[in-house]
Amino acid sequence: MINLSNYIFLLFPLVLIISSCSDQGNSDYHYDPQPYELNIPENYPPIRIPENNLLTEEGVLLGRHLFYDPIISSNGSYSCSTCHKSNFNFSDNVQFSTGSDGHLKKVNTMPLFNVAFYTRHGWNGKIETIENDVQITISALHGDWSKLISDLSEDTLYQRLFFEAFGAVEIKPEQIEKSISQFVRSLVSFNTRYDSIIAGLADPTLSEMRGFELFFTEEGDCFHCHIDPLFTNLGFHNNALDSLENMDSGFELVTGMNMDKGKFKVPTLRNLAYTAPYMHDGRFNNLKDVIDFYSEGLQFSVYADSNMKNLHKGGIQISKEDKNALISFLNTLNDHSLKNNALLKKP
Amino acid sequence: MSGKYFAFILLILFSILSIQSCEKDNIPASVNIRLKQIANEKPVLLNEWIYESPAGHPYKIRRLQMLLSDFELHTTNGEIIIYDMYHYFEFSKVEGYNFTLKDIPVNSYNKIVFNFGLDEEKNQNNAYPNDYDMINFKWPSQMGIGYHYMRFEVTADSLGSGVIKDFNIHTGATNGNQNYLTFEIPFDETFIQNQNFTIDLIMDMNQWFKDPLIFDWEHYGQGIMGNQEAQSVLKNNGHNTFSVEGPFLTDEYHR
Repeated sequence: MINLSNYIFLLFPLVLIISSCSDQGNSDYHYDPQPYELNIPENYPPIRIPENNLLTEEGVLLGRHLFYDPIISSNGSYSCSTCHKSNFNFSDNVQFSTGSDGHLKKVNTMPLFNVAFYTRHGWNGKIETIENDVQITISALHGDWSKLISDLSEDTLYQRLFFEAFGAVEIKPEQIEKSISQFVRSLVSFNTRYDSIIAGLADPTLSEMRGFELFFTEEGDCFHCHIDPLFTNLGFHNNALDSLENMDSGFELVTGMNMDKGKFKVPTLRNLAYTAPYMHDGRFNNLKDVIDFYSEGLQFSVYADSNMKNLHKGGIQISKEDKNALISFLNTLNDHSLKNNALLKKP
Repeated sequence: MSGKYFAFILLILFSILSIQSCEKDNIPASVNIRLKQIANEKPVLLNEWIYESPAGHPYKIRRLQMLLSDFELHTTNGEIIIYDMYHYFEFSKVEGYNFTLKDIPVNSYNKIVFNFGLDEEKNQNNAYPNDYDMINFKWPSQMGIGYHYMRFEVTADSLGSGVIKDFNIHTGATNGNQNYLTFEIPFDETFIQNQNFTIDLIMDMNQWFKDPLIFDWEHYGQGIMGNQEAQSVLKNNGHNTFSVEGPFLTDEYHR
C-alpha cells in the first residue's frame, strides 16, 4: 500500500509553480515588445523620442486603445479623440473645443500629427513633453488616477495590453502616460502631393508653381517661419495678429521675457484642409481669410516679427490671383491618407 | 659599487622626470574664439534705438544670426592648422558666443583665417544636420542653394519720413552665386605652448553698409535674398567687417 504522506513533499513545488504562474498573469500573454518603425523620410529633422519611452508595437497599440477610450474621463464620455478627431487629422473642427467640464477651451485645439518633432507643445510652449501633456490632460479629464487604474485593471483586454507593452501586471499611471505618448508620436504625416512633386513623382499646376514661388521667396516670405519639410520652423513668433491692446501673452507666459509677448508656436501648414479654423484662437474659418490677413490685415506692434513683410502697409499686398495661387500651393500639403489609416483609427 | 648604484638610480630618476617634462611641454593648447558685435562703435544690443546706418537711417537691431566656418590658424613659418567645422551664432543664444579651437601644436602664430558663410563645397542643400538652428537657416532652392550666411534684421526710420520699416539683410548664395567671404586677419605674433588663449572676433555691423559703397536699405527694399546686386555690394563692402583683439592669455594648464 502506498503511503501518500511519503509524497506530500511533491505538493510543495507544485504549489510554488502554480502561484508563480498566477503572479505573471495569464500564460497566454507574452512580453516581447517589438520596435515600432516610423520610417521618417530623409532630410527631416531628428525625431524626439525619450530614451525611457521608445516606441514599440505593443506600446503604440495600447496607447491607441486608451486614446479612443472614454474610460480615461470621470464621466465616461470624453477621450483624447473627443477633441483630437481622427477624421480631422487629430485636430478639432471648431474654434474652441468643449472640455469635459462643459466649458469652452481658451485656445484652438492643435493637431497631433508630427508632434514627435517638436521641442515644446501647446500654443504658448508651456508643455515640455508629450508625456507631461498626457498627464495633465488625464488629470483634468478624470482626476482620480486610482479609480482609473482600478477600472483598467478589471478589464481583461487592458490586462493583456499592459502586460504585453510593459511586462507588468500592476498598471501604473506612468504606463498610461507612456503608451498614449507612444501612440501620439506614431502619428506622422508626410504623404502629400507636395512630397510627390518634390520627389519628382508629380508635376505641379501653374497655379501651384506660382504659389510655390510666392511661398519660398521674399515675395510672400512664408518660408522663414513655415520652412519645409515640416512647414514649421518649430519656433515661436509674433505674426502681427493683434495690436498691443488686444495681444495675448503667448510665449511670454513661459519665458517671462517681454520680447516674447504675442509669440505663439508656429503651426505646421500640412493638412490645412483638416485643421480649420486657424490661429491660436481659431479666428479664421478658411484659408482665404488667412491669406487676406497676411496680405492686408497685419496689425502693427513693436513685438511683431521682423519677417512680417510690409507691416507698415498691413502686409504683403498680393493680388487676388496670387492669393488663389498661394491657396493652391497650400492644398498640395494635405495628407489625405492620414484620416483613412485604419491603424490609427479607433480599434 | 654602492656609489655606482646610486648614480644609476639618479640617472633613471632624471630620465623619467625629463620624459614627463617633455610630455607636458607637448600638451596641445587651445584658442577660445569669442564673438562680439558692434555698430556705431557701440556694442550690439537688441531693440534699442541707438544706431544709425551709414545711409543715415536711425535703426534698432531685431535679430542677428550668422554662420562661420573653416577656421585656420597660421604660423609665422607658414604652417596652417585647419579646423574643418562650422559655427552657428545667434545673438539671443549665449551658448554660441564662444567656441574653441583645440589641439593647437606648439608654435608661433600670427594670423587667423575663416569663412563668413559656407564655401561652395559645403553650401549644399541639407548638407548639415537638420537641428532647429540649421532648419531655420535653410536657403530656399527658389532663390539659390544651401544656407543663409547671415540674417541681420533691423527696424529703421526711413530717413525722417516717420515711416518705420523692417529691413531684413539676409545674405547667402543667391541664384547659386558664391557670396561667402574669406577673412584673413593678422594678429601680433604669439607663441602658444601649454596655455589657453582667447581671440576676440569683432564684427562691425555698419561696415557691411559702406566702403566702398553706401548700402541704402530703402533703395534695396525689405528683402534682398533674391537680389544678387545687393548681395554683391554687401560682399564687396564686407572686407572690413571683422577685426581681431588678442590673442591674450585666458588660463594656464595645471601641471
